[in-house]
Amino acid sequence: MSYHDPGLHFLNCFVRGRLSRRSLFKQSAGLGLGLSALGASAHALQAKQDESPVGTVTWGMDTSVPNIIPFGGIALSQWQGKEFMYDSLLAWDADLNVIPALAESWETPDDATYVFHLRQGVKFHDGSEMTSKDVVYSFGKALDPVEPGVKVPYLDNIASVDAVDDYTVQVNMSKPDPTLTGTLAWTHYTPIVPDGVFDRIEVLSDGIGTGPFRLAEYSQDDRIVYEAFPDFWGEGAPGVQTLILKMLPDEQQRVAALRSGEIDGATFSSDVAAILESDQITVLSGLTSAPAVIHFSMVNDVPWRSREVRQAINLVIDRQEIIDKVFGGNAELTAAIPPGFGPWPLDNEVIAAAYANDVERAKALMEEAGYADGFDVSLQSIASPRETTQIAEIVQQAVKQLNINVSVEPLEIGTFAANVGTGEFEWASTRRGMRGDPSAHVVDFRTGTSNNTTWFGDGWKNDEFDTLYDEGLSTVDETRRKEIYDRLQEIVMEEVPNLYTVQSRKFQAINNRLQGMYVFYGNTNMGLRDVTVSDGE
Amino acid sequence: MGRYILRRLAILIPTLIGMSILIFLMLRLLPGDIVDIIAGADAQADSASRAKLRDAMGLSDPLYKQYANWIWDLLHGNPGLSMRSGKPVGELILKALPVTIELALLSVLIATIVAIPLGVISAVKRDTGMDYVSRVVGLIGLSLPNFWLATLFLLFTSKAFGWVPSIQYIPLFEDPIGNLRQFALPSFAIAVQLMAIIMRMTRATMLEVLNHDFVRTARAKGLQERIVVYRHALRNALIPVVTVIGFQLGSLMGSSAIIEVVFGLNGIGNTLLQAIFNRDYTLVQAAVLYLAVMFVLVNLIVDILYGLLDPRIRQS
Repeated sequence: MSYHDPGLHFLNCFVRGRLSRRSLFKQSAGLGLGLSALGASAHALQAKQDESPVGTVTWGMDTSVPNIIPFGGIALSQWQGKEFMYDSLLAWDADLNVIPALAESWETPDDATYVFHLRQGVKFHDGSEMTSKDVVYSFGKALDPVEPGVKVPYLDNIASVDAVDDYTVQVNMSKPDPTLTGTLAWTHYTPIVPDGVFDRIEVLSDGIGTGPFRLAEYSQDDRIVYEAFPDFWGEGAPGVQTLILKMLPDEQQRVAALRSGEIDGATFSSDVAAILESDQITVLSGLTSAPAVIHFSMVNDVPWRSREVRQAINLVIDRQEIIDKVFGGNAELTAAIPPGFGPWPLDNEVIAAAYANDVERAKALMEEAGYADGFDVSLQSIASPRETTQIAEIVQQAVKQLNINVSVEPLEIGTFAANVGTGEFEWASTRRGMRGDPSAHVVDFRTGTSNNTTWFGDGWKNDEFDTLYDEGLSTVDETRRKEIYDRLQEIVMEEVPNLYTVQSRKFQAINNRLQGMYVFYGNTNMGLRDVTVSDGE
Repeated sequence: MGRYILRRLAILIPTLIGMSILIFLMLRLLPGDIVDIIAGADAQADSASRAKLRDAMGLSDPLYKQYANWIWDLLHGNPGLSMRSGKPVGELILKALPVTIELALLSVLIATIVAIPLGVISAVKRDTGMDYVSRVVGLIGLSLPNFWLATLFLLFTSKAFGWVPSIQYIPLFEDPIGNLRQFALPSFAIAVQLMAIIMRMTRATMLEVLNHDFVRTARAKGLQERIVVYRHALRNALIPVVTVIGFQLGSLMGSSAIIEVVFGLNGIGNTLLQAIFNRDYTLVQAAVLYLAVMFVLVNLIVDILYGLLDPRIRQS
């Protein structure tokens, strides 16, 4: 909105009390502004003027939050439950560009050293000021999480973290590692907490951070209540006073609660979202990082150790059918790095060409491999939500053309997770999650890494992949890195150690009073950090 | 009577020991433990860090040792901490308890108030239009699963009135009216099926009792029909009905899970369900043990009620 905007002019009058609400609406009609848009701008202006957060937002969570430990909480729901109270040194904007957060700036004197200059005057929720001591403490916990936190490999190359002075922190890498900034921006594994916080509070159900909201109540399997943190360091205080995350695992309940105004928004499946749009409810959609994939276990001497067999399978899976039947048209083709992940995914045309169907060639490949008569195989999937099972059923039908007899085994999530973790499956239909760096999307194909050993054993290995993967991890130049990850993804499409299919869009429906919400690619609800409510309630 | 109650309480002990072993083993027979849940289907953590976590949580100990540790702690009044949130499980159960108890009591109350008079009328006016109507209605009530009804109620009120019961728990003693507004719909959803069960039971036993000699005698004495039915017949007919009500009340202490989930209420059922999904062993064990105790206690109360209803039982 520019300064010469007539709308802005009389909105200002309204805010300053020179116009009554009624005459505002009258004039707004003359200007052709929608009422809700007006309400929003008026509110935004008001918030800017007095800077104080107003109103309550209740968000319906589709899964329960097991705990809110600051470090080593892998489950997405853990991060969804605590993302509002924590910041990292860096952050992502809505388009996944790395931007400064608690670190105002950073430099790399050499490829293996990062120096972060901390923002000064940042307050923790307990009132203390954040300094390098807190950052060093936080990294200590992030590198070796206290149980039930689980160690993840993303920070393995950090050799030491030193406080240079009160507002400067130096991170020393054991070798050049371009993944650091992305991992820090993800925040999931590197929130900054006050020095010694583990000795002061029960970190499983309580937390102290620097984020726009501070924790007011954690009620297990029920709700988490946040209140605005007035001393938040970021530009503009949080827009709402109270943010409630209410666990509503039943989708019909979320529908009813949204329609009746009990919640202001939630995530919905695509077919339910389609019927929700109304004059009170807006449906938002966007890509989120959740590429669907069929895992092939190759530890044992199985037919699909033969590359021809895997290529044949790839040639008969109709991804468009998955897009249409499972996701109602709301999905895109994906290779190992899902669309939307910054500049890293392959062009859609390249993927489409590799996924083009050719049943005759597929049959020829099966014959070449000596499996013209096919084989029997079990394909595990997640029973609820249904998507991975529905994909499994489409795969089952498709490979019948190659005489491959698939039995689909939908499993409860705990069982499925255990089997995938220990490699106790033949094929598995699953969806992967968000990562901080492109390398983490393809790491499982690198020989010797943890999942690689569990899933592939000595059944699949590609030297070009291994060499390039290592180069990608030690290359800082972005252009070269892009070339490397393009090629790595092409190798995965040629060799098909895993069969990637599609990535769906996610749907969130919100009450129109909620302003500024968006579907965040990282699969959490980042937008809630900045939302406002138009009615101030 | 006192000895009787003591004996019943004594039976509780072997029941609980058996229960504890069963729960303990069944939970661990489920594939996947809390570490698998924490590590998730996304396979971000390697097997070494998963093993480390399993050690830290005591999950790599042999089963008998895990069981012994649990019982030892339990006997020292320490049912343990939730493996997910580190909160004492006793605290979590106490927090969920008022929701479930209120839900159970309210639905049984609604069901009983409607069902017993209906059952009596149906029996007294046997084979009249009134009887047929209440029997058909009873049959329908019996056939409607409560989770389906609950979802239907929700979708209906949200679409028609733009209203659903509050999803934030309103404690009874803070705001009784708000609380009842919140609990009315879920309780009614549970009550429909209960109503049908109690009504049919009342009708059947009333029919039987009304054929007894003492009823004929009462009528022959010239007593008013109302007194015959309510003071003489109904009182005798109530014993099996009270049994059924008690049994339902006991099972409602845990079986309202689906209703709790549908209405976003965090009671014992929901707590237990989420704990099972997340393999939160300590919480599941404590919650199921609690349910077992409640079930036995409710049945004990029912037995005591028998005595009040029927002096013959009291004296024997």
